Amino acid sequence: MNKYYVVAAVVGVVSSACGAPAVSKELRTAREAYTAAQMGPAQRLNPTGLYEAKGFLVLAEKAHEDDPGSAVERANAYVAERRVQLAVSKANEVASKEQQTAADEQFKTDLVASAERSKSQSKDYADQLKDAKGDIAVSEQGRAAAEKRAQEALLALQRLAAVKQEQNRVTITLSGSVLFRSGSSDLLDVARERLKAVAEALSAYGNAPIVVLGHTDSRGSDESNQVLSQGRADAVRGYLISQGLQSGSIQAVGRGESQPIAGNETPEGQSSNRRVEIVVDQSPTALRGAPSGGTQPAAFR
Amino acid sequence: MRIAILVSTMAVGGVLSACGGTHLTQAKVSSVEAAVRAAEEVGAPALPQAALHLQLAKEQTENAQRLDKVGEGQAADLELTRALADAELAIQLAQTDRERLNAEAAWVKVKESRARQSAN
Repeated sequence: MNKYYVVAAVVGVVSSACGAPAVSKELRTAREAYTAAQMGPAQRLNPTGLYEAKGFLVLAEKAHEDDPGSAVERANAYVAERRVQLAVSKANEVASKEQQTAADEQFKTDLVASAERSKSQSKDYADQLKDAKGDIAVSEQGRAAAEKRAQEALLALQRLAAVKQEQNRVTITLSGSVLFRSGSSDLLDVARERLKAVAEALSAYGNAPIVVLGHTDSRGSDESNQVLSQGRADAVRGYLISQGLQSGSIQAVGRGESQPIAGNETPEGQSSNRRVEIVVDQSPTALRGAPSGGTQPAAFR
Repeated sequence: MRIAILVSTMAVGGVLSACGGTHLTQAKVSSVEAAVRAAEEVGAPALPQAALHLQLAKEQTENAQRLDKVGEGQAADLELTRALADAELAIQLAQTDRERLNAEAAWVKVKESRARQSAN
């Protein structure tokens, strides 16, 4: 082929110089196309196609030698140029297939990497879930233990005083005559012993809010009964704190003669009304945080 | 079929280097018509460059038959040779474009997969 190309080039030069028949447009186009294709990807990706195109170019050059500008020369050159284009296009097809293969491989690689990451994350999540389940189990055990202590405390209180269990509160009622001398807010010695046992039982309720309510009968003025009931409530509160209960969890409120539980016409009724109530708030919101001694818990209002 | 077309092209090309026949042979005409049909089947009409060469092939085939009828056998033969070259080129251009689109789609799939993973 190279021999023919050189010959053709020389002929072209001589022709143009000596007025010989010029190379046909088809042949010139075919030569240029082949030269350009040789420098492109077709040389690497489709050498066979280029070789086939070269075959037609050789035929065209031969025809040009024999009969310059002939129909045979132009037809073979036309075919040669088309075959060069075909070879280049085929090379591009091969390149695209290589690209698709590379993309498919990359997709698979990415999938494997993603699966590995997911596996690692799943392990982390599994570990976190395991820890959380452990925490829940510990919390459940704690709650069950707290409930058991509360039940035991209730039984202990019932042995010491009158106890009323309602939905969110426990009310322990201690007779005033057992705790104080008449008209006084000083605790009797026997009262301290009983209140010591009460404090021990109340400690099972943890930091649950407690209100000590002092009550009197109707003898005397409202004002004096209010002062007496507040003094008695403060005395009981003070003693419970001395036995280890949290001061921030306990309030003392005097109710005076305002909340009788029996008629004040009889001595028995008056005796019943002279009392101290210790109310434990067991509502969930109260158990979340003990009051600081300021605002009265909702269960006591 | 592509191999048969390539062989027929070389055969036609080989004939060109010798004296051409006085009439077109049906075999040559059938080869060109088969290539034109193949080009249409692979989607050449939808691709501008391929459609151009397909149209050239059809026009050259008609020219060849016209020249053959008026006794210009060699000219008809050369015209048919050009038609076959154009039809084969139209086929290849359509196939190449299809592979290009396949490669592009494959990379889009990779990019979308990575985007989904990043989002997660």
